[in-house]
Amino acid sequence: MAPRRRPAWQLDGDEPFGVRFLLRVACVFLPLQRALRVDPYQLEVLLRAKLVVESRQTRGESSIGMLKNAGLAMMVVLYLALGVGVGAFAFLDEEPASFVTLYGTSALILLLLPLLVDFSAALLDTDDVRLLSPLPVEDRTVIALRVTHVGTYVLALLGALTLGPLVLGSVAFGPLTMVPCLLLAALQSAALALAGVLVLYLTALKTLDLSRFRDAMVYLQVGAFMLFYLGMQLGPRLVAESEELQRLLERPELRYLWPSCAPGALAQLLRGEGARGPELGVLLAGLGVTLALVVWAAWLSREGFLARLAEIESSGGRARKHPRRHGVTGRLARRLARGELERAGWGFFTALTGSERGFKLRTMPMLGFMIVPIVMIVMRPGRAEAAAFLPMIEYMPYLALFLLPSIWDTARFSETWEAQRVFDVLDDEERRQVVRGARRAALVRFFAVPLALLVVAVAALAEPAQLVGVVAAGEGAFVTGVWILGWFSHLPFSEKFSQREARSNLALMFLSMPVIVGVGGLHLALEAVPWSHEVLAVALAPVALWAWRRLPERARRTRRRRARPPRPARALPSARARLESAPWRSTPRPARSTAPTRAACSSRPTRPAGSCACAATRRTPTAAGRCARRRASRTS
Amino acid sequence: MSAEAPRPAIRCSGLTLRYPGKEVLRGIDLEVAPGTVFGYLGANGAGKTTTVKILTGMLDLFGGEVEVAGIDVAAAPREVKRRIGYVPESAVLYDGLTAFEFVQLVGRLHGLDEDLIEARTVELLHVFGLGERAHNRLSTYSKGMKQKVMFCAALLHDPEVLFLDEPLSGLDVDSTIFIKELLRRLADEGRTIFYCSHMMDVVERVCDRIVILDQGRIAADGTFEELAHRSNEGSLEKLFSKLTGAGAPDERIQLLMDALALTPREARDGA
Repeated sequence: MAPRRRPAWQLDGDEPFGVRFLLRVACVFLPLQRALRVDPYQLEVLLRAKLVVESRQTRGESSIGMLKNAGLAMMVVLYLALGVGVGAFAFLDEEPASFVTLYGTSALILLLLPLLVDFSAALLDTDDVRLLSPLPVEDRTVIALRVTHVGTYVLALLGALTLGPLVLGSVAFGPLTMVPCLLLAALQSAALALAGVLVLYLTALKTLDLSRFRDAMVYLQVGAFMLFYLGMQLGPRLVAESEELQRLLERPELRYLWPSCAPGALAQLLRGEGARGPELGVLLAGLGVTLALVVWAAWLSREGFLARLAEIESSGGRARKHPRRHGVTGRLARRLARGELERAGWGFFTALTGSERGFKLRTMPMLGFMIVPIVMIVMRPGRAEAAAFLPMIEYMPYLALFLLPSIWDTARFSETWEAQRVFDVLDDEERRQVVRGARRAALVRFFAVPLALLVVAVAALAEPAQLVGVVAAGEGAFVTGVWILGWFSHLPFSEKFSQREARSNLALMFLSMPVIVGVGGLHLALEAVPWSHEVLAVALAPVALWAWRRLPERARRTRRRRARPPRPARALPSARARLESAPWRSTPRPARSTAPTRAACSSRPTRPAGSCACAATRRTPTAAGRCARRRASRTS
Repeated sequence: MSAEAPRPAIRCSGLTLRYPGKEVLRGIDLEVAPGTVFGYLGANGAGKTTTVKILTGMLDLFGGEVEVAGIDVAAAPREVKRRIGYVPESAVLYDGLTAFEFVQLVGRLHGLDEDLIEARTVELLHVFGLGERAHNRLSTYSKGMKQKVMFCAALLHDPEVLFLDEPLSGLDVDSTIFIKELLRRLADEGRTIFYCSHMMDVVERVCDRIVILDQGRIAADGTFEELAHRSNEGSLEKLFSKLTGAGAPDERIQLLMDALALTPREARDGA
């Protein structure tokens, strides 16, 4: 007799509302799960457990969850705005087919990016591998669980992105054509993005050296991000300039190869425009490619997924035998970080940025796209043409500025550094010094590249009149960056933080947006208003004069201070010193030279017994007893 | 007519595994009869946990043949997983769930009947002394309590073969005594126990057969009495130390003390 099981996907109402809602959303994927021969019962049981665990996070964890949710909320708002931008093309495009194709392509790219960069950790999570591996759960079910889990978030982004085109497209071309075509495009893009990322990861898992897998994935993700950014910048320019490329893109055969053209072909068919045969061919080809990719992903996921993840965990990774020499960084640390503790903080942050995969994964894509302008400048020799890229280069310090809080926060969620334990043995002042060193390292590490590029670009591209504005912008970004990081008084490398800190971080993340918009506006104003650069130059002249007069004096003072023999500064606290000042010692041990001797004690007969402050009293109870007895005998 | 020999509960032949730059297992041959408590010993990094992971179907890129409960692990890992229970050294749990929910989850993943899951979960948690805290979240549990929950989850579906990887770490004395008795009783009932441990006294007392692994190879195999007789060592500890070539502790302690006495300059000069 078959075992009596609870019916799968029956929502009995025991769970919190959020869990029930997400389970309902996950039900959307049920037909697909059945088609891919996933065990729906196991999938539901596991998904329910995962969502319940997420909904029951503890106080500290819920702060992290809050940040994650805020990040998701920001992404949803951003995708909503992007959707409105794409939707506006409905009034520029005369053909509904090209509008739908544009939407489909945008959706595909904009879903691929977060899947590659943000959600890959959820897809390749090794946390519960040791729990699920010995249980009779198929790899396919685990993959379906992760895809469903990530898919719920992807659907939220897709919904935000689709709203604008759906409304504006319906106004421009009528809802009867737009609603089915755009829904088809949305579903197709989601399927293509999810299946494409799965194929990429599963192929990499099967073929790459597993001890290097995570490193390889980081570089792959950074590469994908940069490629996207470079493509966005260069693509339209190349198409505009190259006639061969234009002719190539206009060839009708290309529509068969690019799956996002399929919903456009459906639009043509619904409106009765174009030749019926070719349009049907494009539709079927697009859907066929999508289906093939989904089937390929399902085929790859049939076995080996959990075992590969377990092997990644078992094999760990190989550490570098000889540590890399930080020549430039070391010299900078000696100059910019003062004292052992600041240097320790500097070294800590530098090591973190250099070695931790999770940190690299979160920060390197942010930094990677700064290399794009260099590529573009190299590809566009000539002052007049290259000057067109100046605004983008000017913008880089602001982008770095925007990223700094996020980078700082990423350091907090570091996966392997339990630095909280190091901080636990330091007092407040010492902690501040360590954090100061780390903050300086962050500024140098993440501001040095954009500022250097800015200087090079200014020297190479800017007209003399633009110089003031550009330099002022760069300096302004730097100062604001320092100020923003100064706000982050909390400790990095630790997950222990309060709700209040989480809220201030959130506020800062949202604050960065208007700052960037404001700076962009300032740049536009400088470009648009005649004589504005000159006015700014005049306005900045007193500041420059002040800097001219005061900075050398400050530098001299600093040099003088450094030349002085160092004060007997507190060295890094030794274990012994820590034990001496540990809270379980009721009274600190006084220095030997100043402690009253036994003779001194005996010379004060008026002191009441038991209140003696001599070293013997503090040393041991026996010594204290001896002292008290001596005093008592003297009194008698 | 001679009686047919019982099918071995675990059989490995020529088991090898290699990670880049490191050979973990170098040809393990084993046959474990049903109803045996099988002790699997080895120094740190000798390949014990890797063997267990292969036998439980967690790793699949191995060489050689492996059968558990008469089923080829490479061909049908899911079938093997239905018949085994596994208790790892450090419990891996969904900390946001309660103990009851977690054991229930494992039962559902094994496809057991709902009534059976409920009845056995209550009973097991009660027997392991967790009845009163069954509905508390696992994040509030101590290490030993989590280990007990793992035992409950591993025993829930009444497995034919139980794999235990250093299972007593974190358990109190009462629980340790209880588990030792339990293992003996399970073996008497026909279940096979594959027991990896460093605790020699427990292995000496509980295991019917002991294998000592050294650098991915079997260094010794037999009952405790056989091993002691063969090597003229009175205790398993000394035999283990002799076989795995760790060296006399006195010499190593002296080396350590010498190293601690070095000042940084001397250390540099020495290097």
